[in-house]
Amino acid sequence: MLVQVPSTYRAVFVRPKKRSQEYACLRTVVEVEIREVDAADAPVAHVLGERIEPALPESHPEHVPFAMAGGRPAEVRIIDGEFHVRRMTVEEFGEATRIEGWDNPFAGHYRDGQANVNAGPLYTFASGDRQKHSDLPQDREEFEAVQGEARKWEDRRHATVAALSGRAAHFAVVDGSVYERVSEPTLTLSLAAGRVALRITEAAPDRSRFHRGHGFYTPQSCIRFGVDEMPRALAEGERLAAEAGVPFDVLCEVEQHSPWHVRFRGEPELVTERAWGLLEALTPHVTAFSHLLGRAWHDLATALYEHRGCSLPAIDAMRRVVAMREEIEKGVARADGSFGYGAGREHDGLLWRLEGAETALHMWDTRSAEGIVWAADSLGSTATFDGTARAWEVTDLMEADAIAAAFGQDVSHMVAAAAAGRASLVAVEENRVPRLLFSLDTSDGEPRVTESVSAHGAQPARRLLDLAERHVARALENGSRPGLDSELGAFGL
Amino acid sequence: MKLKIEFHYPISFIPYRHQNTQSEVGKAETEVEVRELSDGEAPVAMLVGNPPNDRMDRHEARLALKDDGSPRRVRTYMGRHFVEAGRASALPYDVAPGRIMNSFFGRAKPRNMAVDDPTYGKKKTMTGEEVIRRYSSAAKPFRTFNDDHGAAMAARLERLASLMFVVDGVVYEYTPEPIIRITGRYGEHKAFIGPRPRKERHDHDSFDFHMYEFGEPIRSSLLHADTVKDLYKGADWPFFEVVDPAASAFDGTGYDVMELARKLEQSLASSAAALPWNMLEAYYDLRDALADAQGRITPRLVGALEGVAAVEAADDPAHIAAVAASAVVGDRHGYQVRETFFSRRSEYLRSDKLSDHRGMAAETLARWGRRPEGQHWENGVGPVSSLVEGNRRTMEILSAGMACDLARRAGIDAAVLIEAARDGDRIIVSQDAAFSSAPLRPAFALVAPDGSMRVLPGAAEGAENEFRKYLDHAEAHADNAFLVPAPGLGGF
Repeated sequence: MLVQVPSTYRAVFVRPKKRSQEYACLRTVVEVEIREVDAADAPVAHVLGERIEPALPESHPEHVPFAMAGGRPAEVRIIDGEFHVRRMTVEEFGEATRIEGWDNPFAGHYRDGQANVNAGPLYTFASGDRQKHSDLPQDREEFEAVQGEARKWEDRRHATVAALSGRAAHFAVVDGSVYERVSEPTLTLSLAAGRVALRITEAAPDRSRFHRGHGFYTPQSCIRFGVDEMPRALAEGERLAAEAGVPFDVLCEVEQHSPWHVRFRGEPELVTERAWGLLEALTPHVTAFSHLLGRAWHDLATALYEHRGCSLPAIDAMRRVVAMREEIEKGVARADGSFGYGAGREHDGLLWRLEGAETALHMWDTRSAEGIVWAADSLGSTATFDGTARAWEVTDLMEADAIAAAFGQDVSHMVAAAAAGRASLVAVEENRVPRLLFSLDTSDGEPRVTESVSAHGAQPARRLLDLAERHVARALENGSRPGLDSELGAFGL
Repeated sequence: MKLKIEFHYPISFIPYRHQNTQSEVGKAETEVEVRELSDGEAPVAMLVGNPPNDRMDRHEARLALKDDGSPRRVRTYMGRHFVEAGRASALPYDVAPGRIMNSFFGRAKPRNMAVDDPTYGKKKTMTGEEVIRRYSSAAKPFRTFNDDHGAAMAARLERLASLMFVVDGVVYEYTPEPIIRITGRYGEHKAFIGPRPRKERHDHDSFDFHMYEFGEPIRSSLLHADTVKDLYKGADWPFFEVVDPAASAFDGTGYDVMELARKLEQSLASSAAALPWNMLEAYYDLRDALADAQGRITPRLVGALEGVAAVEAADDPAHIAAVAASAVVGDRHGYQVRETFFSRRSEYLRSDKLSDHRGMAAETLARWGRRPEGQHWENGVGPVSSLVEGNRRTMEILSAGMACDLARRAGIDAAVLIEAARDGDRIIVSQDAAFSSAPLRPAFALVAPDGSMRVLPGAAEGAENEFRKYLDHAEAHADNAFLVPAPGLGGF
């Protein structure tokens, strides 16, 4: 399907007797192609939707990726292995491409290497004033008729065309409706604006389009669930609302979901984010801790900085910090009204973050993540470093997917073995680029690598293999997971 | 002897429609009494003499050799030290206007009186509001006018006169106990006799630092100066002779060790979040030991210092590189976390700080190793040796120096305490926890090795309960001291 998208583009020029270059904003119409997919190749995975509340700024249609269409939940189809949500009919789409503003599906920030490309009809700024799209000059002649002669004219229409063509690849037409590529839908519980609301958001939002480039829901202020966890999300939402004494609004509806297409669980990110928050709030007070709390803080910091994610040592340290809540509360109370360094607002948020950590641990303990998150069955070690290289254990589907995508290979059988607890999945990256992924079988005491894949099938460097070996040795050595009992034992209790 | 002193004093006032205080100088006169004592009442306790030096400050100069090269006598009276100053016959001359500020009475100068002003001596003195108004052409009455006709100044002069006495026609002025001080800053080594620090070391709430407090770790009583003499690299060792050993009771070891230990603790605290666990644990031990020590060198404090000195250096480059690598934290919420405490930790490991901290602890222990024989004791003190409750602090005395200080304050004979300690008794004192404008007298109890307690006379009612409470507390935490909330530790 060909679509005409009115847009703008930039041209660089220099005025006579001037030396600096200036930009001109010109109008154009770009023709892009939207692919058409047969319904048989695009099975429906979920049917779900979120109500748009026009009164609220966060409910702007562009902020709601899984908006209801005409009061009905939208279909989420799998096209080429990726989620696509139904946005509108082809006719509506054609009209929408001519809207000015964020409602236009092609509106967005695009990058042209050096500079932003003003693509889409949203940006019709020329010489500082907003102009109607139709008032913009169409080409160099029209521009020179108004602005006078221009020299060294360099047209950058190709950048706009490239940006919009790239954007068009996000869409697909199925059965007369336009579908847009999205990340996996997740249920999101947020406590904000005087209410607890349940929404549907993307698992990994495409930052260039929704939320004006910002992550709108951060796990510090919300709790996310897989799309199949509706009863749990409702129960948790009711609990949160009752605790805070605010109403609970369910803004979304999941009419149907396909369990085979659920790969997201909120617990790892929730635990990670809350642990970071707890660490940040605790760190200024290190000098005031008791030995036990100091040790727990130290282990939490080490685990987080070494692994940067949800790991068993981090969870264990977090549990120990939370267990010493009484001591922390006493410390905060002592600081109130006294002259010490803790006075003032330094401990603001410490108790609040402690509650957040407790919630995260509660969610972790009550998770239903069979086959999606298998941290509990992992070796339970933090990462091992060698310069910019890092070896660590992959313990959830989302991360495994990301690595598989980077490799461009199918690793589903390795992931399935790890998820079932039959093997451990160890990854090695260098400069944050995944290089190696292998499956480690430790069931019979003697660890052996059952299968490995690497980027582009290339043989990884010797030092990366050494690093992997060291990591495995370290993980097996620390196999007894640190626990409160061993800590107390160390202190002779 | 009676001494007539004519002096200047400040008059302060705020003129009409003015906001700020102005001052003029008034003139008044008072008569003070300087005690005349016999040689037996104020016996000679020591002879001192700093070698004369161009750069001596007034504290050193007061304890320097006399002009004829003979040493100065230091006498004790009521447990305090008084140093020879000059002839009694010269006193009226010394306190004459224009010279009084250079004499012992010069300390009576209030802060708001500008004696550095060269016109001070010539300035016309004022006597009342009318005169000052006429002089300053002020038409309207002043908003405020404070003129006490020199009463406050006269009281101060009288107080200073009570800190002097005359023996055999020679004036003796009060001085804190003369001690030996060794400095070695900037390659300039100096040993001299100076006053002991005024800050009581068990009075950690007092901010009355002496001017010598900074950067001067080596101090000793004159009696035990030989324990530190070999630390002195310079040439001129001052002259001194101790006549009465009981008068030289300053505990230099205690001051030095406590100061070094506090500096070490502060240095560790300033990089606490960057410390590796073994050093952080040693820091916690030191912090708690210091909080319990309350200015004393307890076995627990020495143990904590040994712990810091024994921390194993994490100088394995591979380990440091691994820590540094994990410090490069990627993005959280899409933005870069630039500096992390882990990067500070790798900096800490890479720098000399760790070995510096261990070196500071070793230096402190070395100073402790130089302690004089028989001046410190343990007598079965446990890991918890102090209890702060409300405004009372109960703790065990562990050194002869502290016993002398507290005994003088309580008005009892320190020899009783020291003798009991040498017999193995534990000495417990109960006193004000913080600075108090109306301090209570310290109360003492002796606990014999068989557990029987004897409260020394002079203790207030209920002191025995405090001693019992302390003993129960120390007994209860004899094994797990680290669970005791350290007194005085702030919250977070």
